[in-house]
Amino acid sequence: MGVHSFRHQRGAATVLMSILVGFSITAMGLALMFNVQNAQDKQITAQAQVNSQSIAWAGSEAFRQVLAAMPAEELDKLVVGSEFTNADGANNKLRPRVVNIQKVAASGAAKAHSEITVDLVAADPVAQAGTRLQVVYNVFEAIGRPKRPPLDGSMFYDNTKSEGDVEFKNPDGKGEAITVKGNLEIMAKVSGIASIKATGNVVLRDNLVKEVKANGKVTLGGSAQVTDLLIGRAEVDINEGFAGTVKSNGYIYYKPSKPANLAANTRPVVKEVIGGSIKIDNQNNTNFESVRSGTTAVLGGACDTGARCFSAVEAVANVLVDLGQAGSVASATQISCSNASNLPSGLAAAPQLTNCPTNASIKKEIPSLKPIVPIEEFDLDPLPIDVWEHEPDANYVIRMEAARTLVKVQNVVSSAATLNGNFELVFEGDNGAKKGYLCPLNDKLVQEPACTKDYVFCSDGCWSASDEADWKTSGAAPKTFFLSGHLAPGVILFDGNLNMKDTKLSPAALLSSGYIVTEGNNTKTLALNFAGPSGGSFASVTLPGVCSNLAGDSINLKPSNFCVGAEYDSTAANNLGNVSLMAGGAANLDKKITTTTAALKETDKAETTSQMKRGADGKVVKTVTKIIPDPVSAITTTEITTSSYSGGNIRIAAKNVIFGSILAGNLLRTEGESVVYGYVVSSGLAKAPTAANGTIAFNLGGIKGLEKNELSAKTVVDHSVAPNKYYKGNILPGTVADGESVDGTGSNGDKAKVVRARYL
Amino acid sequence: MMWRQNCGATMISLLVGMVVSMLAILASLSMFHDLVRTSAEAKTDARHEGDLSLAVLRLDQELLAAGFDMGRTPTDNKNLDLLIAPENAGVSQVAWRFKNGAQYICKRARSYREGDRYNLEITDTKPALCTRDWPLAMDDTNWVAPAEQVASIQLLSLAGDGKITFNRPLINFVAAADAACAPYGAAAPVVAGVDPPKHPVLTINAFDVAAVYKPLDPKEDPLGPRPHSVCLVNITVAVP
Repeated sequence: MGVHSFRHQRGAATVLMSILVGFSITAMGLALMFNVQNAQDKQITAQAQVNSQSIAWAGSEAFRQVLAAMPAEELDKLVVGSEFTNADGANNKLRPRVVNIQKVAASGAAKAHSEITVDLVAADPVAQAGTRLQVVYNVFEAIGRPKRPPLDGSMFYDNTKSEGDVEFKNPDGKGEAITVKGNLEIMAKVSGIASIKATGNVVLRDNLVKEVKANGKVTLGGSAQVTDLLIGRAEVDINEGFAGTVKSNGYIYYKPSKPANLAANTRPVVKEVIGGSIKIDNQNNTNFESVRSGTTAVLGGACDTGARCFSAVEAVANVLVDLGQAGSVASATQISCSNASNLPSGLAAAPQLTNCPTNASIKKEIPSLKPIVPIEEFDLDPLPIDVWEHEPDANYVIRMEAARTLVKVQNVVSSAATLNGNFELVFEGDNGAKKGYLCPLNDKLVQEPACTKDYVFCSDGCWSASDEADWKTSGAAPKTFFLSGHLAPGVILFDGNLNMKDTKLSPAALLSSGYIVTEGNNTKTLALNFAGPSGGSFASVTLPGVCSNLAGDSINLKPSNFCVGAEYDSTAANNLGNVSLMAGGAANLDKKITTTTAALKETDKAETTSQMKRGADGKVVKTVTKIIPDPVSAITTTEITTSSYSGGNIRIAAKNVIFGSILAGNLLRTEGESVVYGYVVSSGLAKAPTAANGTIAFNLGGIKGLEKNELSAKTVVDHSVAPNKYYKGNILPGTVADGESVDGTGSNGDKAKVVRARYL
Repeated sequence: MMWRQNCGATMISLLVGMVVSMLAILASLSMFHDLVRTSAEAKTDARHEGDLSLAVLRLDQELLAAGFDMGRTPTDNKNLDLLIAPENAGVSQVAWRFKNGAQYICKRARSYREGDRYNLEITDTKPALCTRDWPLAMDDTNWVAPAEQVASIQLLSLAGDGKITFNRPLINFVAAADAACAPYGAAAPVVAGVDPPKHPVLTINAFDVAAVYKPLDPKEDPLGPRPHSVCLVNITVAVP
């Protein structure tokens, strides 16, 4: 019996050992799987979070677009707790909920807006993970007038003529971009131009530019050169000029000169000539790589034997050419050979051949031609220059009422006080010793309290004022201010014309509702940002400052919107700090006020909108609509004021220097040896567009005899300099400032903008 | 009679049986040894990777708040609410500040090696210290201790000869170039002529734990870091 049990036990021990080992391996495998499963779960959690975060951020942009597109009345109905869902119902991946709404008033350059805080809960149902993202949006109110990108070059919105030496200077050697709404004539040497864009005709003589684009006719003569592209949509006439590529919907005549910078023994090369019809009178062995005509092509002139001056020619209609000067020639109609024996280096093909030799390289067939795309016409939208739009930005608004000089003051400080409200300018002394004090007025425009002459606004002559004759027919303002002394720094809007003769240098943005002329050989004007907070020295001229080192020993006022504590805000007053002179507006001429009343509606709210539009008669009319709801009387009054644009001419006399930019609402004229350290814009708003026969229906710019923009001899337009606070001189009122959108509402072109976000 | 003969138990047959059994068991043990080792490493690597992923995710969420509601302008110094300290002696740190309601909150993330463990901690400033204008500083006396430990990792060598350490911390923080960016690319369309706003970008370089499999000098991280970029949308940098 014991032998039997020993045998059983021996077999069982081995099996038990194996089973034991198997069990332990299995247990360990299970433990490994469990741990890896845990780690996998951790990874999945992290990945799932990423999915839901991605949904949340995509949702933040989607909701921003919802806010941007939301009409104002719906935005007003948003309340804290408002939730947004879509038709997916329970499968919603994103639920935005408004948690806070705050109205923010306008402050400096920042516009009035609503700050809306939204919690976005995003869930990825597949990953079963959620994310809560809190996003704060700024939602701006749309303005009636669209803005434009920052300036790139000089802009003239009427016919422009340049005579004598005119020089444009840009940083880093970059050339100037000239934009003209109308015709441009450059009759003598103008340097520093890179490109020209004109809605009318362009005439160039003796100038080197990179590119010309015109809706009308482009004429090059006297060794003018367009190194890259020349487009004359209506017609191109190059007689002893050069253009690298020429395009036109109309007729092209091209007699090429040799480019001045071409190396010796090098043939000039023209890449492409594409036109409605083409005539080339070649010289200098110019090589035309491609000639394509929508109708006829007449190609001739001098070309060395074997030089093949016309490498590839295509025309829909007849081609007249010496095949010995050509590479390949193709016509859908006919090839007429001016030499009956010469052969092309490539193929010539046309259904009809006249006077051409017989050869295998000359085929009687209809060739395949590349299509010619017509050139589109373009238009230009002028900068809306209206000094009255900047009345809220002005530190001083000066007007004459009978014999009194009244001044509306805002954002001005002296050492002892902050000045806001209505004042009267009281003068003391005569001629060069004349000083002007701001005396406070009460609501009835009476001096109260009695003036203590603490606030010196102008000194060393101040100005004199007189009535302007014929202002109703010339478009000038009814009054003219003859400035001669120092002025307090700031944005100063004169309700009148400005005449500046040897005016002493003061940092100010001078805005005139009429015209501005400078006279004398010593007149200089200075933009606020060019001077900077404490002035300095530039081009051997000592510049007074805006916040310290003020012009005039006794002037004791400074603009608090520019001088903010120890800092200087160069974007204050809607970027008027970059402007030296600005003229023109719609307030004086043809003014009509229409008032209507209606029963008060719940949706009525107080607002003022303005719009400037050119009517069918050519006049630019400004319409200001003011809605005034009165809950007490339950009546809403709508006041519509219309007025025609007038004034806006600026004439700069010889040897005058402008430190800053010039914005002329109508036309600009510079006379000999003028220097402008800034940008120039003239918008042509006070005159009708010039007719094709040269007649002008009306011109209400204020200065008689000024009928087009004129840049005279030795004018220098220099925006290569960048004083510390003037570093973005091309940001002007009406153009986009940093952080603003093209439509002036918010950022990146939309009414709504994300300002901050965080995970909750 | 044959059955009884076959059932005979002699010493030799017993020994032979034992030897055969032992050989089978030895083979199993060898496989057992490899399996134990592999499972331990896989378990450790999976845990490390998971910990690192969660640590980076946590940092991403926390750092996004930098600059939130601080009322700064683009011309303000971008480092007012975000401070990235240069890596020093194996320690990499970043501090940031944001506003939550009426309260200012300053936080610091610190990645360092302590012995053979790589740690990542997040902590707040001591009470009342964090104000709008308090200059962010990494000095330990400013920060609450002990900090919240977000990750703690020990790297083991494949060769089985114990723990290995590299000369760089588990995670390091590097400032990348400012860029017009948004998390997950969700930004409003760019308008021609308008510069989109730029924001600071912080790169979080995390370890690749698979590096332990590289039989190279363990003092250097042979595979290099896995970068993760965080776009700090609440801080806007002035466009030059």
